[in-house]
Amino acid sequence: MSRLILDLILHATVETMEMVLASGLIAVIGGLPLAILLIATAPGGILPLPAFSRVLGLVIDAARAVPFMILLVLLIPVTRLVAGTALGTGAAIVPLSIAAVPYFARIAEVSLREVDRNLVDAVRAMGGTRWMVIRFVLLPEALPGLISGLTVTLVTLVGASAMAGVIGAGGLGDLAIRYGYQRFNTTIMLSVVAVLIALVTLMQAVGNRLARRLR
Amino acid sequence: MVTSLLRVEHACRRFGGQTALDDVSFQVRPGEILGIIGRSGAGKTTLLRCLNGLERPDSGRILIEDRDITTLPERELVQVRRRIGLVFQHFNLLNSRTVAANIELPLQIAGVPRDKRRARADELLELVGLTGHADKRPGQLSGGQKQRVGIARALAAHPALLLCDEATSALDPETTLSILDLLRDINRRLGLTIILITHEMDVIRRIAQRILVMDHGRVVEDAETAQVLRGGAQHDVTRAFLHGESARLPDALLARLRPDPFAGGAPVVRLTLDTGATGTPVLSILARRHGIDATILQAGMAEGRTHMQAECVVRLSGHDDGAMGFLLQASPSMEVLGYVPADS
Repeated sequence: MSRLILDLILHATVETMEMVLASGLIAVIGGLPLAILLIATAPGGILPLPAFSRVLGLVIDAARAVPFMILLVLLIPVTRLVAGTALGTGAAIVPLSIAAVPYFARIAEVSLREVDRNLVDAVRAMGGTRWMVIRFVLLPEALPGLISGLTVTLVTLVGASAMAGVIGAGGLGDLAIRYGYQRFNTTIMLSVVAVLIALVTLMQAVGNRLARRLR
Repeated sequence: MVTSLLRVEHACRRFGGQTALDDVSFQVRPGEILGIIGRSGAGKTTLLRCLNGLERPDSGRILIEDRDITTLPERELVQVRRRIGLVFQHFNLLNSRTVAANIELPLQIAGVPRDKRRARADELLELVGLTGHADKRPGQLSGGQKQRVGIARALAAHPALLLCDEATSALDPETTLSILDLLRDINRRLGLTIILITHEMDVIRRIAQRILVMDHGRVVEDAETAQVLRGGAQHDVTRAFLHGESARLPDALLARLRPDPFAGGAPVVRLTLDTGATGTPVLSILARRHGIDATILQAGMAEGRTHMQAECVVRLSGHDDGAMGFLLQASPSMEVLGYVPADS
């Protein structure tokens, strides 16, 4: 394998990691509060507002219902507005994040919902405020599940970021399409697949380990 | 002067068509141990949730240290809750925290600085006999140890009242005794008022000075425990609890008893039969008409409402469809306790 190809792959890997980690971070920043809001406002939650909870759930599901490929194209005007361009790694982070936020919100919601209700009641009965319930009970008790959920989200983002390559986002997907597919370069195609597998395996292993240690 | 720490006046609470609390009134004096007993569904849990303000009664008043908590806004209710220590049946410890951090939780909620919290946690660990377990996780402790942590946590913020919700129901008999000893010790040493909510008469008998019996949302008995144990019970439900107490099954039988029928299994039932002139020869009729042999496993006399009754636990061998109907007629309170292998 030539030095050039190696450079290409390395560069593309870094770009993919940039996209995945940046949008993963935004997924947590945006998705976790949404998940907490969903749990808190659900019937029997710490701030029951069933109508609000339902509407929020609908909005989240609507966003998740759009296939990423279509979202990618649909969001081009938004991307231009936020990133100044619709091309490149930075631009791809916008649609990736918008897809990842509701995705992670739903996954995090499941973990938070599994926290023993009695623990929430116990802290309330001790005179804890709603904020204390979130900080002392919901988040720490759900942490292993949240880490696992984040791992799943990141792995999904690796796949989605490759798709973003189709509209010129850079990264491993872009490399595979331009060199591997359009120029029939099998070496690059296979290398990209190998790197993707390694990347996903590594992320899953780290995620599992972290979640297990916290449990 | 505060003469009663807690006063409940005519509290009512309904859920849909169901009455959970029906005109409940009682008082708790500072320093006493009050036991509240009732079957499941008698309104104990609702009462507890009303006492710590997690629920509000539809009508009536609940005064804690002379403050009516039924009208307090949420913000002030939080302050009152911090005056009540809660001990739970399933401990409700946070697995994400160490034992010490669990004990510190009420203090953290009250905004006590870290070093003071840690000192208090160490003090309490010593009080409940868990010195050296501070940095363990709740998951590493036994049930009894977990409950000790639960009690230490409940005591952390120097509460005026300790509320124990079925605190020993998830523990084995031996551990139950040690936890009850601990509670009595705390009551004596700290002069702390304790309310125990339970369905076990044994718990009441061992440490409660006063007993409150609940049934269908009402308080049907409010008396000194000693008086009730001497036979001064006013209500049937109270007697039923005492009764259940007297006829505990022998361990050897309990070990073989299975809850569901199985091939070759014989039912074990508890019968309460009238004696003397009013009685029918139930066991003889059972053998003659239904061809069923009854082996007496345990028997005793109990004081019924109007006359003495024989209470016996029998194993029924043989099969006849009409037998159960006949027995139910003879002893309306008949209880199928379980099934044992027929040859034992």
